[in-house]
Amino acid sequence: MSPNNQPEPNPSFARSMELFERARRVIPGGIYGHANPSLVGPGNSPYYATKASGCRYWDADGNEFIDYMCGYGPIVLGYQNREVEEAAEKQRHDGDCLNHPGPVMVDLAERLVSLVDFADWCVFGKNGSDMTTWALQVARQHTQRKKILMAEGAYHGIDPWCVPGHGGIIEEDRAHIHTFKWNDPQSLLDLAQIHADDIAAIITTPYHHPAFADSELPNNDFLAAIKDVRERHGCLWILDDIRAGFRLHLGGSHCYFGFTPDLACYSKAIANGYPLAACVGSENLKISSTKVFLTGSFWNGTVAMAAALKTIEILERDDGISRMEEMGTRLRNGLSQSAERHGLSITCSGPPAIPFLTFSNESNFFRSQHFSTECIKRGAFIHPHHNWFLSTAHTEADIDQTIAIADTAFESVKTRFED
Amino acid sequence: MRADRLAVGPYLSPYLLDALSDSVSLEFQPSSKRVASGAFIVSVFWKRAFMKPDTDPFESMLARLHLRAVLPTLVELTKIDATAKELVGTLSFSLRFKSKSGIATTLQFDKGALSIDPDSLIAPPLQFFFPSDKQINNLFLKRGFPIILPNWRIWKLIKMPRFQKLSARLERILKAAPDELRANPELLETHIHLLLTSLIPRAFIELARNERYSKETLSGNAGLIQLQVVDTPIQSWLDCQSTDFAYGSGQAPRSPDLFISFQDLETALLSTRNELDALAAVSGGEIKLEGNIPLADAANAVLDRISVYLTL
Repeated sequence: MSPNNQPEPNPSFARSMELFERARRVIPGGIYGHANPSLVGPGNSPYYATKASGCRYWDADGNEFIDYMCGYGPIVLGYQNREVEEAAEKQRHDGDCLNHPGPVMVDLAERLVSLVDFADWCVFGKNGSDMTTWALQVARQHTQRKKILMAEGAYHGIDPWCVPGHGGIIEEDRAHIHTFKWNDPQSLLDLAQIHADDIAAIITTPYHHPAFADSELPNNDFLAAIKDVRERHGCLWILDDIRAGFRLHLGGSHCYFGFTPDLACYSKAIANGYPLAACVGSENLKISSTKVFLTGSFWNGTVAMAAALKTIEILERDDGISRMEEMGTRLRNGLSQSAERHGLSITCSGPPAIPFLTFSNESNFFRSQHFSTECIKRGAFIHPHHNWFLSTAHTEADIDQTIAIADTAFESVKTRFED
Repeated sequence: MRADRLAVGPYLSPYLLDALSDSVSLEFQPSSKRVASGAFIVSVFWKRAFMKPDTDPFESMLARLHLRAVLPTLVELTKIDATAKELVGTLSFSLRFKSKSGIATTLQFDKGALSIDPDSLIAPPLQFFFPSDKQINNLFLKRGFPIILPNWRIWKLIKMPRFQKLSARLERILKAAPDELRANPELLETHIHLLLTSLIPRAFIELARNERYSKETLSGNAGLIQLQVVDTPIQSWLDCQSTDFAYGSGQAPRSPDLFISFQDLETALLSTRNELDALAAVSGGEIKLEGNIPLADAANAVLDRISVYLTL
C-alpha cells in the first residue's frame, strides 16, 4: 500500500525493457545521450514512447503520462498540435528536402527578424549545437580573436568545445574556452582582465539552467558586468536561448530579462517538435557571418520551417507565453504547498514555464530520484535532474492531477527519508 | 649512502635483479654472462640515474600506480587468500621500494601481518633504490633491463623467497585469464575482491591526487561512494572530498552519497576489464546506480584513466 493507503500503482515496463535488450545489441549504450534511462530511473521509468497527444504521451507498455519534459523542450504547443501538423503536412506534400531552399525559408527569416528586436538577419540549422558553435565562429571571425568566456556548468551543446562528456576530448579543444561563475560579476571581470584583448565572445544562456542543480535567474550586477566586459573589451555577447527561447518571451528571452545580446541562438520550441535551429544577429555582424561556412544536408528542409511559422503564429495569437507562465505558476504553488504540508523543504527554481524542483540542502539526489520514481509510477513524467517544461497544452486539470500525484510522492519521500 | 650503493651495485645488482625478478615473475634467469656485464651496467646506470632527468609524466604516474596501488594489494591478498596467508606465516621484515624521484612504498611484515606505508620517513633495513621511475616500471612490466640498487643490508635478502612467492601469488590472481576466472568461481571472487577493495580504489586515489586530468574532472564533485557486488562480501568505499581522498573495504563509515552495485561477479569482471557497455548495463539493471550521478560520471572518467596505465 502507498503511504496514503491507496493501492500502490505498479506499472509494467516490460515492453520497454524488451526493446532495450534488443537495442543494446545494436546501439551503443542502448539509448544514448540525454534520453539514457540511467538519468531518470533505470527499470522504473519508460524507455520508449509510442504516441503522444497534447500534454500526454504513452510508452511502449501502454502507460500514460502527463508530460513535463515536452520532448526535452521542443513541444511548446503540445504534441500533435493540429494546426502545426496541418501546416507541416501541406509543406511535406510539396517537398521537404529539395535542391534549393523553399520560399518558406525567406518567410521564416523575415518573421524572426521582425520578432527579435535586435535582429537584422537570420540563419538556420537543425540542432542547438549547430548554432552555438557557428555563432562562436562568427564572433571569432568578427573580432579576429580566440577566447570564449562561458559560465561554469552551462550547457551549450555537444561539440568538443562544450560537450559535458569526457570521452574523445583533447586539451586543445578547450584551449581557448574559459569559465566564470554564474551570477558572480567579479569572477567574470577577473577572467576578462586575464584575457583582455583576446576575447571574441561571452556566451551565456538567458538564465543558468545546469543539470543536477537549481536554475538561477541572472542578477542585475551580473548582467551589468557582462555589458561592461563587452564594452570595455570589444567582444560579442552570444545568447544561447536554445532551451528557453519561445517559452519566456516571443521576442527572445533577453526581452524577459531586459538585456540585448549581439547574436542569439534558438532551437527546441521554435517548431513544436520539428527539427530546426536558428541564429539571429545584428547588422554589424552580417558580413562576418557570411565568411563562416554554414550548411548541412537537411538544413534547408522546408517542413520544419513551415511548422515554425505556424508555431510562432499560434504562440502569438493565443498568447501562449502567458498561458505557460500561468500554468507553471499554478504547478509551482501547488508543489510548494504540498511539500510544506508534508514538512519537506523544496526549492522550485527557474521561470514558471521551465520549472525545476529540488529538495533543499540535498547534494546526492536520493530524494529527487525517489520523488521522480513515485511520480512516474503514478502517471506524471518528471525528471529528477533536469529542468522541466510546460506547454500551452497543459490545462488546469492536468496541473491539479499532477499536484495530487506529487502529494502522494512527497508523502512517500517523507516516509522513506525523514520518518 | 649513495657511495655505498654505487660500490656494491655493479656486483650485486644482477643477483638482485633475479631475486626481484622472480618476485614479480620476471621471465629472465640468472646467468654468468649477466654477472660479467657489471661494467656495462655501471655505465648505463650512471647515465640513466644521474645524467638524464626523470621527467616523463606517464612513467612517473605508472610507477606511482605500481608502488602505491598494485604492490599494496598484497595486504588485501594476505587477508583473504589462504595460500597467501600460509606463505607469509610469521614472517617479519620490512622492505622499501623507492625511486630517485621520491615515489616510494614500504612493506612491513610483522609476525605475518602485512601493512603498507607509502609515506614512511624511516627507511627499513632493506631498501631497493631505482634510479628512475621508468626502472620501477621496467621491473613490473618485465620490460627491458631494470636497474635496481640495494642498500648495504643485503643479507636481509634471505627473507626474499617467501616474498617472491607471495608476489607471484598476487600476479597469478590479478593476471588470471577471463576463461580461467569463469571456470573457477573462487578465483574469480578473489580476483574481483582484490581489484574492487584494493587495487582500483588505491589507483583511483593516486590519479585523483596526482594527475591533472583526474583532479580537474573530480573538482566540484565531492561525496562518498559505496561499491559492492551483490550477494558477495565484496564491498568497498571511496571518499572524494575537495581536499583529499580516502578508501576502505566493507561498509562506508557514514551514509554514502552514491551506491554502485554490480549484480554479479561477471558484471564486475567485464567492468574492471573495460569490456562492459556501462551505459547499457545501468539501464539494463546489471549495474545499479543511485544517488549522486555527477559524482558517478566524474569517478567513472577517472576510473577509465586506470586503463591508460594498467592492464587489469
